[in-house]
Amino acid sequence: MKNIYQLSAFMENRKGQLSDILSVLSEHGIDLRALNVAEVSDYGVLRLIADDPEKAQRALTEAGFVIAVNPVFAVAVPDRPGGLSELLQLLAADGVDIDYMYSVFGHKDGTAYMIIAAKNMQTMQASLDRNNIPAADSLALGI
Amino acid sequence: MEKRYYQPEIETMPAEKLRELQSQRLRRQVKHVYENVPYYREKMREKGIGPDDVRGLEDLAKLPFLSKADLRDAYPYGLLAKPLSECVRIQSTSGTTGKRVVSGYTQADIDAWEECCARAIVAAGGTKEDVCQVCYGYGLFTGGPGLNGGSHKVGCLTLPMSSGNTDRQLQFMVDLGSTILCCTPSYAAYLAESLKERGLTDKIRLKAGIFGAEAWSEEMRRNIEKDLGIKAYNIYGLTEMAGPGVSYECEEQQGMHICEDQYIAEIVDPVTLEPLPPGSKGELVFTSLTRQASPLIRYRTKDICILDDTPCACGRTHIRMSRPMGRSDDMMVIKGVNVFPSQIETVLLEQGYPANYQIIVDRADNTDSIEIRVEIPGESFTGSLATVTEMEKQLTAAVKAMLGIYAKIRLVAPRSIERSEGKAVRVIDRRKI
Repeated sequence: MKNIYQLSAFMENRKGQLSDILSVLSEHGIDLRALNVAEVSDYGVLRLIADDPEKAQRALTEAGFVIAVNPVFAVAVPDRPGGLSELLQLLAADGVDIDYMYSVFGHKDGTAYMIIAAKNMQTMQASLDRNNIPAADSLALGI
Repeated sequence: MEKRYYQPEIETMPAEKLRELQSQRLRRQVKHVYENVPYYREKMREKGIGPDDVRGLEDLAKLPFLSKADLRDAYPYGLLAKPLSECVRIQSTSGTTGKRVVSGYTQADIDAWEECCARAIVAAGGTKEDVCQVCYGYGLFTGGPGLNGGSHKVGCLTLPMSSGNTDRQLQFMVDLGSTILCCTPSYAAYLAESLKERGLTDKIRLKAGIFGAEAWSEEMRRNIEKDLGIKAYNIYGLTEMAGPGVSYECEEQQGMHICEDQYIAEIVDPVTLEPLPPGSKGELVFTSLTRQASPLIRYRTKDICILDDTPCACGRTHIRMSRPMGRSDDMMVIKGVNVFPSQIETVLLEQGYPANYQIIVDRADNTDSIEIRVEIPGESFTGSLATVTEMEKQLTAAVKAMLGIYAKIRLVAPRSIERSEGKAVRVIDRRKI
């Protein structure tokens, strides 16, 4: 599969928690490609795509954070009105069950990227292939 | 299976006869302490009673309570009811929470204590054919000496190992063919693990374990039983009442039979000190009926448990106590319900959480609230918010099932709950501030 790896960090809902995590990454010279926060009232999950996921995982774990690593797709989306909508229709038609998605910072040559996690990652890979939708590896995300 | 007892006439004595024996021994014991211990005489006078006011069990509630503070005040010999020349032994508590408490024994006291331990060993299937490995500490601590004496009385081949030196424990267990293991449950679990590591598990001949002197769960029992291929029996005791053997389990494993010919057990409300009927949860109070050197009347153990006076399938008529569920010192009253940190700890461990937690009790608009801060185990975090929410939901339901009231669960990052030196601060009760 042409997926990339996303780090998820457990966060308590308290002042400074997010900045604590980000400062660890900054100290280790890790650059972020995408970031998303999902939260309920007392805690949240920070999801991020780093330029060096292994290094980022090591740094955060050593700093005492609870980290999980999951595969996700970085899918290329035509940067024009309706681009994302068309993509999602294609995936839906193939039975892809999307868990969550968020966008990658910036765009290049008329292409934007979305980070997408699906319940059925294999089905999603097949759908991307069938519809000729490019998915990026982490290097291509060096926008 | 054939029913076996160490002292069948006592252990299966009809309830009515047992009450009669207790009444008669109580009268004698009250007279003994009144005549020989000025401290008791003074306490009884304060209550306006003398030995003649206690005719039997029905008058027990007239007698004053004793607490650990009384024992500390009386250290070392203030409560001794026999001259030192009649005493043959001193045993002592660990004294971790303050001044040590010492307990004196005449030879008759030692014999009675060892008989209680012998009953526990026979109830666990012990006979003179057995090899009994005692790895409770020997010395001032009562664990080793008590089970050692009981094992002698039963006629087991006794291995007085004392605690520690695991390699030697395992070597003797294998080479000498130990069949009964006496130690703390945590040490039993450690021995099981060490046997597995060394590939010795199938070389042991253990059939039973008699484990006590610390709190342990039913789940831990099943694990030890599985790992060692034995039946694990709970035993209870306290130095103030001689030591282990105050109560012990039979093959039914449904509570520990209290040696009622030696002790009267009561359950009282820890706040009002009113006696409660069997089946109620409250503080366990003991009166020693035969101890000569250090007899104690209505001694508050601080252990919270439930007494069960329904008949037991093993044939023993002596009342059973549940395992201690907490200490009355730690009890909190929240929304009118008695809550013990140990109950919460039990749930956390059962649900796979670390025992590092904090309980925050507060009151707003005259309503109590309780929040439990628990560190999320790193390995259970999958990255999905839904999983965390599900964990929180399950834990909330499990805590509610245990306490009977709703407690807010707050999952926090590992190592975020502060560790204090020594005893952890588990409870923050903001209602008192």
